[in-house]
Amino acid sequence: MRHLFIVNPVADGLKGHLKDAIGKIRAFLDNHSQLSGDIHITRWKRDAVGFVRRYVQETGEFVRVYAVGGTSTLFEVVNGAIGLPNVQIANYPLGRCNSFVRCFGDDKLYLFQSLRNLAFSETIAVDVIRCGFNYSIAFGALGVESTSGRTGEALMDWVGYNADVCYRLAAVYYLLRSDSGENYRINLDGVKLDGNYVSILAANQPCYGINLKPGVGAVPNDGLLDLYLVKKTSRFKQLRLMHDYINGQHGKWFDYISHHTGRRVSVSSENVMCICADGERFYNTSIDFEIIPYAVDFVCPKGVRALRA
Amino acid sequence: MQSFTDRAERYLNKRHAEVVAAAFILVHTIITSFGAAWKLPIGLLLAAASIFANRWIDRQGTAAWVIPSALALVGTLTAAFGGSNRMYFAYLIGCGVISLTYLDRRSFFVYIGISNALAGGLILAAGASGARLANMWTATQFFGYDTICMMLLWSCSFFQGKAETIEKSGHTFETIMKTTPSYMAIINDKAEVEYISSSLAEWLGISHMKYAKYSALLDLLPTGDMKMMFQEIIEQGGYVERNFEAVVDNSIHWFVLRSSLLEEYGISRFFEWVDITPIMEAKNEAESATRAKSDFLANVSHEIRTPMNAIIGMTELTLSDNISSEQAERAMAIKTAAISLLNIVNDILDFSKIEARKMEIVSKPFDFSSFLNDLVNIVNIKANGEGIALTTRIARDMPAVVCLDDLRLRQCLVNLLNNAVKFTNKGCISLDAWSETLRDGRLKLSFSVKDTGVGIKREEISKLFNEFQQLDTHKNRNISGTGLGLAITRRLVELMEGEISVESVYNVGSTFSFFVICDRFDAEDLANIQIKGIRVLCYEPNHYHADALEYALKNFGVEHVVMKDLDMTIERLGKGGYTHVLFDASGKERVSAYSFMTETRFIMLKNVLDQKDPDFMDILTRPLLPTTLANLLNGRDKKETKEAASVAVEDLQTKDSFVLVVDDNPVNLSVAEGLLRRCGVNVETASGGQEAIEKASAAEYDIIFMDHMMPDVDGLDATKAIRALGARHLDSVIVALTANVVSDAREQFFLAGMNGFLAKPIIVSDLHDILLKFLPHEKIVKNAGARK
Repeated sequence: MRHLFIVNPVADGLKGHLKDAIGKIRAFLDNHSQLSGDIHITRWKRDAVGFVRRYVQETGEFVRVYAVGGTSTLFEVVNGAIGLPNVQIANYPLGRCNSFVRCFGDDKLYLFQSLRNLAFSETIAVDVIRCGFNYSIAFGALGVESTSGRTGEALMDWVGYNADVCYRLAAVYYLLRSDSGENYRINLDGVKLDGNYVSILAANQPCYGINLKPGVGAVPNDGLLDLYLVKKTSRFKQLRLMHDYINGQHGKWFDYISHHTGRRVSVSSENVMCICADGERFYNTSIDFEIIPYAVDFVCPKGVRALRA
Repeated sequence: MQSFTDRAERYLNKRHAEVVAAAFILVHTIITSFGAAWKLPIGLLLAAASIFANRWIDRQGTAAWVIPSALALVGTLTAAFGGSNRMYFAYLIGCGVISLTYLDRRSFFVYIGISNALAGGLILAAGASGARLANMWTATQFFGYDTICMMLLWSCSFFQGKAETIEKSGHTFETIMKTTPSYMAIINDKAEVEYISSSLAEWLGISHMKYAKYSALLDLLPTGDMKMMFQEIIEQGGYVERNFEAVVDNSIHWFVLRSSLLEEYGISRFFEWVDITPIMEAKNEAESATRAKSDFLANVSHEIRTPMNAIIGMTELTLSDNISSEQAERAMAIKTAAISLLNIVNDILDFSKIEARKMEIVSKPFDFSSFLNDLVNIVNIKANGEGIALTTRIARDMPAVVCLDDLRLRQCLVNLLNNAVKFTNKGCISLDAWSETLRDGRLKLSFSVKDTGVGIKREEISKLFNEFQQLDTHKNRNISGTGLGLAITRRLVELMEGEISVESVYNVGSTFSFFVICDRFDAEDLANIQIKGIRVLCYEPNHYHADALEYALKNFGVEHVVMKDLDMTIERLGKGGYTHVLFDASGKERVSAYSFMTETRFIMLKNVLDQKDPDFMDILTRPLLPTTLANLLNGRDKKETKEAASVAVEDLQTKDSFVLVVDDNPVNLSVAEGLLRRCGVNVETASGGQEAIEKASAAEYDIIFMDHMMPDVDGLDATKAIRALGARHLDSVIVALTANVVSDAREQFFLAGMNGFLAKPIIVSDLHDILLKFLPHEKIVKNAGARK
């Protein structure tokens, strides 16, 4: 088995600490001489996708790929590894959101931040969502999540700190606009769910963003796609609704928030949609989300199991 | 880092420039209209007029600058000589129309230069009185205003010009990206999309190409392998060109991709790929058809040759039995017809092979002297039988060993010689050969076959080498042939990097010439005379043979006399001094009277079909080849003065040899068994691969003849199984006995572990060659005259 560390130098937790992180990985490999490993520092967007794929194919052995960064890094590793039989994926969470590993418990994050744990733990097969030509491991979203996420990032880049506040401000700004929400045509396994929605979430697990858990009931290895639809309503109601929604408190909003499970959902709109998959954005007027059951082997430290929100 | 000018170019356009110009005029009007509010609307009007006039001027072209320049001049003069209001009007006119000229930089400079200089000059010429001076000062101020105004407006025009250029090129680029059928993408240094073509957007299922902007290019690609390849290209840098295939929508698509670096304004790389699936599908279809053709060739080869083997083989066995002369004649006729049919089949298969580009030229070193010997032997009997003299003129400095495909070269020459025999009723057929070393050290071997035959009409020469073409079919209707021989010869010659040509005179004769290119194997010449002081006297009544002999001896540089008259020959012989005397059999009695001349060697020349002379030992058969003549003159031929150009192969005899023949066809088994028993070989048979494996494991055989296509276990699998039986079977001799003669099949035999190959129908001499090659030496009893 080979060990490949994909290090994202622009991950939140690595900015200004890249050298230390590399040193730590090298020291770990030196102390565990039975492990043969390589480190690759990504150079541009999606560099890891092609690199991982080529590395795994050329090696011919089993490879455990460590996404050292956040959800973005994990996204690239998943897209590089998908479909290859001899690869396992691990996430050393150093990102801003770390959405996927949070589904195992916020209090369990430290277990993923141990190289030793990651190197010697077993894997579990987890589902992956196909979003068009890409694959996300945590979620795919349209509406307020993706649009405000883009605005929030731009705001954060300008302000320079406190991403959580920036994202929330951006979401509030979006929800207060009169043109928030969109008319979508939705087909979930043949069932039409057309309507005017302010948020569409195709979740493989409950978490996204920073400390948010809207995907109540989503489990990453149940072979099902969890679809959450939030209907458009009046602006101020939307604010309250979304506040509860993102914290996983859907109970009293059952008229506005619907939860469906299925295998494949097609979403389209007359206007261009901002589509978010694990924090990465694309633009198109249509998208398909499809669950690929047990598509990748994910390293799961001992004592951890996937939790529903 | 972009300069201000560069950035300005992006943002200024025609409208901006007009607005700036009009705004300047307006501002100036407002400033100057303090205390004279009536000036304001005029200024506004002029500002508006300047925009429309500018557009008009723009359409007219640069010659229209004359108008505003003239107006400005008038305005300035008025300013210089007139009152304040007139000055003002003139100034406004001047400023207003100046804006009309700002598109043309030349007119700007001309205006400034001419009008102001003229005005200044006129002012000075009018005298520098107080009022004039004041006016001159005012004019100078206006000159200053003019200049500022001009500079500003000129800057606008400069940027406008640039902006227009950018706009134009931007428009052109957009048009290309919208209309090109290729898939194009341009990325920045973060591997994010800057532009994609409409066709690519459509292929990727993106509603509009602008939606792809700033997405990671790899996110847009449909398959993991494509993402991997593009990442590799970005990593690699430089110019990249490659083919790739991708499965899209459950079908395979083939693409040609080109990518190169772009380093400008943050753009990093350009990709273009083109879907060549239709071309690849057509190519695959064509390859599939070629494979089907090859398979057909292999099957046809096998299916035809298998029964031919039975016909020829059984006839051969019948001929060796005790039969009456009538029966022998009939059997011989069957054999001749069968061989003729086989030759036609071979021609067709060869032609099909060439057409299917399956014909290979397998170059290997071979002895050129033996090659010529065999060649002459093949044709000599036929030619002689028709009463045609076969002569040769072979340059002695031809290489002794040639590196070429001897089989194909022989095929070409035999074709030409056989044609010569076919179309010549009397006279001579001459085979000439010479060589030349090329600049690159390779050899050019040239051959010509010249005959005194029926010739070819001039208008038919052009179609001579076409397939299935037979000339003058009415006249030549009794001459057999498929019309493929020359077509095959031409193709083979071309495969050997040569060319073929013909010269012919109808009813006189033809000369077919060709050359081939090959590698030189070594520096040794075909034949050389090593002994000095040789003097040769020849008596050759046939002038064709006489000319050939003359050529050969002259080529060797040997002192010689060739006589066609016997009396004159005897006269010369009587004078003595000759080391060698070559004479025709017709002069035997008179010449042999001088056999007391011990210092002279007497050699009788005869034709191949002439009876052997038991009284005379030193006999040579015409035509004399260079090696034969050289050996004779060098005294190395003592053992070979028997008929070196032997044609008939006497039976090979063996003892204590055991052979297994494997074939699923009982007739073929019977033929092979019969031919082998004739050589004294103990033969066992097996009717299939499985039986062969069992027999091989139980007993040892000197040679196993293995058919290829058998129903239970085929020859290849049986061979592999026998080899796997144990160590002693690794050295067993297994020879493919098959009608499948396509080159790919032969390669399969050797790869399967077979040691040799014997084609069906079995040619006895080939069978003897195999036995001689693989049987232990002590088991060969008699090998008289077998072909070497």
